Amino acid sequence: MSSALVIKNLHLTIDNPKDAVPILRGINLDLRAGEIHGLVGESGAGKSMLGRVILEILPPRAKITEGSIDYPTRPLPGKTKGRSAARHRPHISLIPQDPMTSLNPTMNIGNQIAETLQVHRGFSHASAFARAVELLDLVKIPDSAQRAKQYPFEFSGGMLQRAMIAMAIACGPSLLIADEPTTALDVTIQAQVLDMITDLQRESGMAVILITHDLGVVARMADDVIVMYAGEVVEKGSVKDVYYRSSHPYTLGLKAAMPKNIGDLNRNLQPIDGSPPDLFDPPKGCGYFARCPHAMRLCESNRPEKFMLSTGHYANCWLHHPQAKAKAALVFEGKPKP
Amino acid sequence: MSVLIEARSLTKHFRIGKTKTVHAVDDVSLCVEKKEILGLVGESGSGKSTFGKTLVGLHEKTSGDVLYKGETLPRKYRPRDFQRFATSIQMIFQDPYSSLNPRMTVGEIVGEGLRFHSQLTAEKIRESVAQWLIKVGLLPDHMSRYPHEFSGGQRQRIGVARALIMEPEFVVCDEPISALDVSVQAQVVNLLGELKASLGLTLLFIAHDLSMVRYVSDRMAVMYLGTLVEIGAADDVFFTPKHPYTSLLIASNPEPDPNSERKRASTIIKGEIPSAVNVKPGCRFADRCPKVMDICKTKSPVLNQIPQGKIDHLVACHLYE
Repeated sequence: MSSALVIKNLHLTIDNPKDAVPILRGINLDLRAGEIHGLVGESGAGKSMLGRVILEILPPRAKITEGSIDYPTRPLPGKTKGRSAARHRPHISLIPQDPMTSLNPTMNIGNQIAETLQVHRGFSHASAFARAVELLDLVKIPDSAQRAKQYPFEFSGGMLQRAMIAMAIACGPSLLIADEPTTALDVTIQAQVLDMITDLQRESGMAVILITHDLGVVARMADDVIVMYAGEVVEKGSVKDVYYRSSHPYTLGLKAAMPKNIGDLNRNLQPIDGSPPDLFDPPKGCGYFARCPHAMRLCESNRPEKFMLSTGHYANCWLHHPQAKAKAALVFEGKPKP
Repeated sequence: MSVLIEARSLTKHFRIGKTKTVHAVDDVSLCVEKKEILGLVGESGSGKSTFGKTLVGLHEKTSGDVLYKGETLPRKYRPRDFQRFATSIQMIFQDPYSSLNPRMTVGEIVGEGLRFHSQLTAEKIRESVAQWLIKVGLLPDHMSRYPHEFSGGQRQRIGVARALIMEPEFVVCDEPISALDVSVQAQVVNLLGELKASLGLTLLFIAHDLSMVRYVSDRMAVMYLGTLVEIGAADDVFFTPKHPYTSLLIASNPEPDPNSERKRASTIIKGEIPSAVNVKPGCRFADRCPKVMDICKTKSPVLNQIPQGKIDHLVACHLYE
């Protein structure tokens, strides 16, 4: 299948008065068209920043210092002076985390959806508004014609998130970035919203990047999983490879830190001790070194290479080096069978 | 086992304007046994936080009683009542960012309770604070720092230390982990478990993460729109839920396992939790319930005993009458 997005060795820093803080440190990604890619990691891992790089809506002091982003499906138009780059990217759109603060409170929902169509697709106001009502129907908002005339405060959280989805798919994007789309919602509403995103993705064949910290959501939705830690990709592979044949100690740690819904409960959640590294003083070697129970001397000062474990399954961990075979067998053994 | 704290028909209504009433908590009766962890789950708007706050006296009760060790607590707390119960009832708040005063140092925050409620000297209080910071996995040096210098997980630990330094018997934990990352959630949950074992704490653990509540709790209670719909042993409620709402809630809970997740039937629950303003008579779940009957729209169900296991399993649903 063709690539929707190729990122090569991307480095991003945010300037602060003293020095530049590295937020993304050498990201390599190749996202296939028509698939859902789950992007997981804890707060501060750089997942949202990666989403923003792709959309080119970076905060003012953020800078790409190295690397490139290519959209093979659609070449980038040049930047137009004085206009936001986002205006020229109708083929990429975003579902933000918090719908409450992402919508304009003084504009009705229908007009907010219509606006994207007017700007990017040259619709007249009347036809854009009519299309907005259809889109609201599509995301299963009842009485869409009435609802389109209402303001954000008249919508519940789940409905607002549906309206955001309607807005995101208005221009028929080829790449949809969903940044924690259901974190602010209850599980019952979360299930509704996620099923809707899956349906829309299947119908339109767009690629989706689903940014989340919930491994359960990824297990249900994603074809591929990308695990990020401290500004780096530490493991990438198909959802089954990453869940059932986890090959990075951080992925193993995340799984052990979640309660399992099985009958026989042995009460031993294994937290990951410590906290993520301070990127003001980025680690020289592996970002996970300080918290890793299997760290070796090598890991402290040498950044791990990317090791291929099977087709499409990669992990950045020295345990996969041929010389660490014996230890790797110990670490990754006892994993649940698929 | 004996009952530590009991709510009897506890009700909390909020008035909005002259005509509207929010039925945040309606006629909820439950008891928490000594040294037990009772999990309380429900969607946002189900009244679980209001129940917790009303239980510890942060809200005035509209009606109903709270009995603590057999003693009826006042309907509205006066400053004197808060003083009296500070050493036995404490609360850990949901948001580790807004629940710590940014202008106080960690030492002041954690030690404040002791300064007011104990006869200890300043030096003894400092020692005690230092010990508690170690117990919750921080360093004594952190005492002179301010909350903004800490991460979310560390702040939540400060909140835990502040509540537990009083050595209370009963603690309400209002979503203590929902603002935290998965790896850190386990740290806080294990910490609560250890402290429960070493101090003999009794906890009301309010959360919306069903797997975590089942993991933490001995018993589990489910609230919907201000009413208690089901309560029983955590595993019974989780694996053999009786109330249609509980079944749907548990069916919506995502599991980190691709095989079982993908087999699960999709969209399971219709609509959204309705507003708690001026609720209709009958069962509050009737509009969304897949098993709704005529009686549900007119008569409110009451909690009934389900014959099952050793621990009482109660459910409020006409299907089981």
